[in-house]
Amino acid sequence: MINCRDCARALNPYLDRELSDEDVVQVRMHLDACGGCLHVYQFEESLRRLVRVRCQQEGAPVWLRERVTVSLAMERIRQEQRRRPPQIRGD
Amino acid sequence: MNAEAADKATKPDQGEAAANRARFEDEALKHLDALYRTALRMTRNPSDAEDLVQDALVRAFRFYDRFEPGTNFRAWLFKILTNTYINSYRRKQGRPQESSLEDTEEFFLYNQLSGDEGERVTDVEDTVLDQLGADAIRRAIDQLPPQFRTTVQLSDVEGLSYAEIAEATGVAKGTVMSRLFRGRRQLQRALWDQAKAAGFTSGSKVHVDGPARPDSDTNGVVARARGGTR
Repeated sequence: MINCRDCARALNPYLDRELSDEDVVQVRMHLDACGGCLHVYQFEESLRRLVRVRCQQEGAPVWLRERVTVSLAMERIRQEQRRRPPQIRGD
Repeated sequence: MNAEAADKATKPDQGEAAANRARFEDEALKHLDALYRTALRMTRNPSDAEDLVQDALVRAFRFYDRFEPGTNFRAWLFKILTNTYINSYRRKQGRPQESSLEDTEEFFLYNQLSGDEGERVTDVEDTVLDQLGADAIRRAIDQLPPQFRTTVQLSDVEGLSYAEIAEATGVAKGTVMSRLFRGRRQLQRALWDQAKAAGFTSGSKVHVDGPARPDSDTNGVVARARGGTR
């Protein structure tokens, strides 16, 4: 089983879900057996949640969606004008 | 007549192009909040952040035919956001401010908040940090040096994987990991500074008067553990 030092190093990638299945098992086994590391893990996880939840309260201002939609529409018109062959007026 | 013929000739192509454009807009706007938040962390200024998001999305739209279907659209959008920022905004903003944050040990907050009497804190909501509002947490992130700031934002707020962040910020995955490792340690220090500045740390659950306790966990190993992620 991995020791506390290895567990501490693996904690962030573990929380990030970036460990291999094999390493996940190692970390879980250690956390089941070691109260000290388990507390640190629980604390770090709750801290991540706090940061994520509070920061995600912020969103783009309502007018930005509109602004983007308008500028995409304008870009579309520019692209179409470039693409269209010059029109020949018949008379 | 000629114009009509030309119109007809390009019709099937235009139909497909129109569908692509509509798809781009639908897909891109799903990420608008995340793009804006990240732009705000990059520029630290709402009006620049709005301009940056708008410019980046117009560029992405222009280059949409180069996007390979089946690859990661979100990472691709963030990559264009990053490049647009580097090309047009960073220059305008001048030299990035040097961060005054000290490097700290890992699990700094846990060590600060755990009691002397072997008391363990397992949920940040039971601590003074729970009083930190969204704006205080954002200020803490804003104090990180720029490359750490974006990486931490993309991971801890937007939930991108290491591989996605590597693509979005144009660095190797190992660099993402080391930026996260150092950025998160600095973020813990910055959050603590925010709590101190707001006067929260005089609360009963925190010991600010006593001497520093470098190792307060039961085995000491966790607090001392150093070095990069594996």
